[in-house]
Amino acid sequence: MNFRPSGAWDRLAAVLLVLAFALAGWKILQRAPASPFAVQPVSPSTEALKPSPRASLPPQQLSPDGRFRFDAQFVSSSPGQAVHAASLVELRDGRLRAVWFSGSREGAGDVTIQTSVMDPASLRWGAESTLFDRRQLQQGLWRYVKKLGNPVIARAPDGSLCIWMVNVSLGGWAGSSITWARSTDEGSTWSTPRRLVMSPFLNISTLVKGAPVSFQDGQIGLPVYHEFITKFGEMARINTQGEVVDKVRIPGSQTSLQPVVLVTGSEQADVYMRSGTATALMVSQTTDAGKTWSSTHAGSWPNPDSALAGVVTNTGARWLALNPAPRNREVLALLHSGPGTSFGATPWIVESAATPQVRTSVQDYERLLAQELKARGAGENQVRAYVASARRQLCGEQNCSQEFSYPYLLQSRDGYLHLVYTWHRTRIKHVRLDPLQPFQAAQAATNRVATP
Amino acid sequence: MTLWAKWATALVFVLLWCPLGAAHLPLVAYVRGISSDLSISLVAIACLGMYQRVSGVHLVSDHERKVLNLVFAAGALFLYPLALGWGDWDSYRLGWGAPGMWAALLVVSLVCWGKGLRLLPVLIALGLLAWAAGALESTNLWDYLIDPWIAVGAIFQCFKMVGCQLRLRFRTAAGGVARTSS
Repeated sequence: MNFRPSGAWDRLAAVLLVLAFALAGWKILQRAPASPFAVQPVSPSTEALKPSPRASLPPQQLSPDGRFRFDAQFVSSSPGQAVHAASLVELRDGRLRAVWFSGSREGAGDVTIQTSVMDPASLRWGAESTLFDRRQLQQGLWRYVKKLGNPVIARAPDGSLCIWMVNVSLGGWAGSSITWARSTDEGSTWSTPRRLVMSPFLNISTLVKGAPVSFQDGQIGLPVYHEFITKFGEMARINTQGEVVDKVRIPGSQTSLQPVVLVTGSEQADVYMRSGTATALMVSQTTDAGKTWSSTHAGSWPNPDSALAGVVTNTGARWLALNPAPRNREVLALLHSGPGTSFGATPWIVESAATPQVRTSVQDYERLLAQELKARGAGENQVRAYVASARRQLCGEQNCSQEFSYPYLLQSRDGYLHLVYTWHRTRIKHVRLDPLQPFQAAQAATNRVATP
Repeated sequence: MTLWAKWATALVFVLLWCPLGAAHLPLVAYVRGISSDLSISLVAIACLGMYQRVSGVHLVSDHERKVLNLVFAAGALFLYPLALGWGDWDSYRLGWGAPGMWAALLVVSLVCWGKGLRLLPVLIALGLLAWAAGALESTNLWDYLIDPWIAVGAIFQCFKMVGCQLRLRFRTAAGGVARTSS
């Protein structure tokens, strides 16, 4: 054996080379062309919603600005934990399954992916259970995992449930990669976790937060983002086996992250991104089903470097959930736009601190949290543990910042809009509202948010 | 290789496979968590290096090694900055079956072959075969051809080569001046 040109070795190397290029060329030719987006048929607004009877349900809550009504309840039920980054999927029988991460603090080694299921008839969330922990991921991936992060759950076009989870082996969140698993029994059991390889540099720094979209050929478009050295948004195309087959960078998205894709046609979609520099909601569009994206530009709404969520409903209306105040996460609101129109100037405020511009004193903060927790059925010990967790994460020596963040939106088949979000980093909260209810005129002047 | 070194190597190899921690993972899995998967090229070069060391047979010429370092360094400089966000164009995307990348690899292989170099075309062929078979966790061809460890090694070797050349020129020039002045 010798690497210098010689008869036998040359012939062997030449055969190897021809075979390799032929097989690789054949594999490239087998690649299916990129498919258009799968778009749900649009129903007339009068037929879209079939509200379920409310007889056995608790009374609805009025929004902080008095303009609309909704049902609200807590999802998570582990007092004292730091919880964050919830996402939601509707099961075949109409129940909802939520997933989120929970642990002693964000980024701790004891963080697990938790899940709970809601019965739509009673709007009650069941006891939470652990879906994945660090040890399971380590054994499945056969590699060291330091910590877990954002989980995103969704139904794949083939009917199975998929979960994508951020996990880190080295460093902070910039060292993340994405692991996924599939369930064919509505989330009761899951396949062995597998990694998605999306970066050539030790596969680090690809994260997920936004809901995936579907393509007509059964592939999935997963909005992901990169954080190492610089930030940018991307759209990964994943085949039916769960493998990455392509990835498109959103141009000009440097400093933007956590893309949320709203598909409005088989070739059209808008992507909205969190601003890493806390300037404005960042926007880009595609008119060729995600093969190319327009250059990212600042939208009209401010963004305080906070995550957002979006959904296109069965009437073709678009909804965004975000923090509309420019500097904090003390207000959480929905923005609505009809088909082909831009988002309105008046947000639907879901949660708001009484005085978002002023930090709350620790005493007032503890009182506020305890009040709501008790009203929703928490016992004294549980209240103490929840408040202690919130205080640990959001309070300084004298005052605290209230936080309603990391929203995730979903429309269920019965037409209701479901919003889950992080409530003071100590609980995951669920809001259900009828998206076709009339949006009342302002009852009292509100200056809680900036208007675009 | 001395007897002591052989035993030490064997011991390290055994220790790498001993289960540790709550997850009962071997040490090699902890290393894998940080190093990520190695490219086919690096594995092949490592195997070749081990064979050379054990057998004492010198298989790769200096010229072949220099070309290898230059190509891997150029590949790394093309791949990593663009893939990690320098600009809007993503070089890593080529690895998901872009015909242009296949064509570029064919050109590199043919040019090397024509120059009498065999190692680089063989490494490319092994990478392509493994990619076609889906041998690694990644579906991207780049991950079969190059990884950060081989890139760092190649760039370091290139700097070393340039350093040697400069030192040689400096010595030649200094020698010339000394001869002239004497």
